[in-house]
Amino acid sequence: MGIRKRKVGPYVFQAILWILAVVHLYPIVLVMLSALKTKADLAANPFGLPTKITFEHFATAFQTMHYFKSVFNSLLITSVSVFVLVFIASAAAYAIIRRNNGFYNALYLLFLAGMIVPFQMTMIPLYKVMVKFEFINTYYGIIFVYLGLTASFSIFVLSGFVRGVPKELEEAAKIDGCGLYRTFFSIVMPLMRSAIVTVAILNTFHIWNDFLMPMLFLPKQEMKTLTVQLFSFVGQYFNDWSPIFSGIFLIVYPLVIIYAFAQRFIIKGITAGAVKG
Amino acid sequence: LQLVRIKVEIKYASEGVRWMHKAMEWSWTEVKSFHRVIARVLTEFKWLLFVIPALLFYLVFLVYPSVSATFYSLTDWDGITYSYIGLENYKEMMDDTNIKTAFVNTLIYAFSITIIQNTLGLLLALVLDRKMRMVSVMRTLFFMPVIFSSLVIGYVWGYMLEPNIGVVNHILGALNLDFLKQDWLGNPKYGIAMIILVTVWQFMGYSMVIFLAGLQGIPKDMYESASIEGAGSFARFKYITFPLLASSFTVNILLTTIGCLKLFDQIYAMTKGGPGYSTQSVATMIYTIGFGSGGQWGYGTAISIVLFVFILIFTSIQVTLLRRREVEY
Repeated sequence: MGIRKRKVGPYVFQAILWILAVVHLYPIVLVMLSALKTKADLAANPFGLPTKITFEHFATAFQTMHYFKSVFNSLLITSVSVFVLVFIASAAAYAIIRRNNGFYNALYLLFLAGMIVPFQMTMIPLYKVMVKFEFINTYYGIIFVYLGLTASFSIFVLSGFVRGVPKELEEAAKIDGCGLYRTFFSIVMPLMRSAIVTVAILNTFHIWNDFLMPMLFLPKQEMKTLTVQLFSFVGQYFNDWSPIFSGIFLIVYPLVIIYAFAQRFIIKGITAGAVKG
Repeated sequence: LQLVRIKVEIKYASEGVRWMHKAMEWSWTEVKSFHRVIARVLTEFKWLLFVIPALLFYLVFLVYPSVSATFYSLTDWDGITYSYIGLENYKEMMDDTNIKTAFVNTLIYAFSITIIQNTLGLLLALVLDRKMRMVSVMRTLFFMPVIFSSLVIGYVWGYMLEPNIGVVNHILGALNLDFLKQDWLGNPKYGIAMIILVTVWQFMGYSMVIFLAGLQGIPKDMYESASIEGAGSFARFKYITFPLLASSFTVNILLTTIGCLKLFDQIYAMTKGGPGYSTQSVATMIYTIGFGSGGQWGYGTAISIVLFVFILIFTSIQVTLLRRREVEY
């Protein structure tokens, strides 16, 4: 009995964990199942598997959300912002940690303070800034805003990581006559790889999912991002859940795919800075 | 005599040369030090160039708007025109019962979400820290909701909690538990609890991952020697895991508190602050006041300034308390 018990225990434990995981993810599975159901099916049977699979709602969602155009907008804004952000944030984090004097410490605190500013506080003054620079309805305008707003968190995570990077390599590079910028680009940045990937991924999700900023700053139809399209789509099909679920599916599942590829970095790297910071 | 003169000349000459040498050396060091100053300024400037791009965007799009918000909070700004009214907005806030409700709600959100989310996150991390088949898949699954937009999550849960066609009531009906059926979001009694539930559901994986990283940083031999000395699993948790996880606690509690004091998306997507003002948080309140019928932007920014001060006080207290617990190992 004792032997058997020892063998069964972990399996029961694992089974319970799997059940928990499935229950945990049920709402996300629900999106997919409901998107495939017919309207009658969804009303009669909201919980289970679809009895008949239909793609009709996808077509509706696809058209009403101008899917290709809005995916393009979201992709462009997200990728350019994240690409530039990674460089400027890791450069700033590097300088802040390596200089480590009063001025740079003050800068660090200034950047951190941004993390506690509620967005609602800056929203309307920010809108005025955008109007003044004529940044409304431009891609670069909203990208600039993202660079400003995500700097705090990114620098917080990255600087925690820079602290853990040994200085010796940089010193050796300096002795070999390697300039400051070359040292940074060809030695420090590769060492910060894992933290950079983490920051890039987290910001990708954040910007891709962001709703208020594109809502406020990209009101033009051709400029709308996926989330904004979904919002107006939900407004249009109020309480008609079948097309809404298809719409949600179309915006959620690209993320699931990115996540499936990148999860290794996320789980490992998310805290590289956070814990040490 | 001539010889003496020559000697003297040589002496002078050599002295002169020495002087010249000295002078040259002297000016050389001066040139060098001047050069050094320039070089220092240059490297200082080079270092500065590392920070300038990020700082520029940050100043223009976050710091400047925040500072001008402070100014607008002293005006009766309606989005177009404004005049200076001193501290009127702040006085008005004192008598506004809806604002009080919003602040109380925000405290409830922050307090309960921080505690529940981190407790569950810690439990999950402890469970998923051991060696097990597919353990990384499991971590991935529990983390997954974090990646979705809170707006989308709000819609999905809004559907699930819908009283007539929602999944939750449907399941309760199928289990013959009809008396438990509720208008989950429409009933002021449950609204707040449901928002807490959904937020915890979405972000518990985030806490878990930070705790996991902390757990993996604890040296394994500590547990071994504790076991040898006869410490049970609870004692090991109490005397090793808990104290050594201090820095993960700091990060987690800080991030959750800040996030919850600013809670907006979930509420906006699920209840819009209703019914009445029962689920309103300060952040949604600011939005309602600004974009609502009155367009009272001055008043709205005044509330946001108070919220900012609120968050600042809370987080500084937390940082000092939590950092004290942290130990080096």
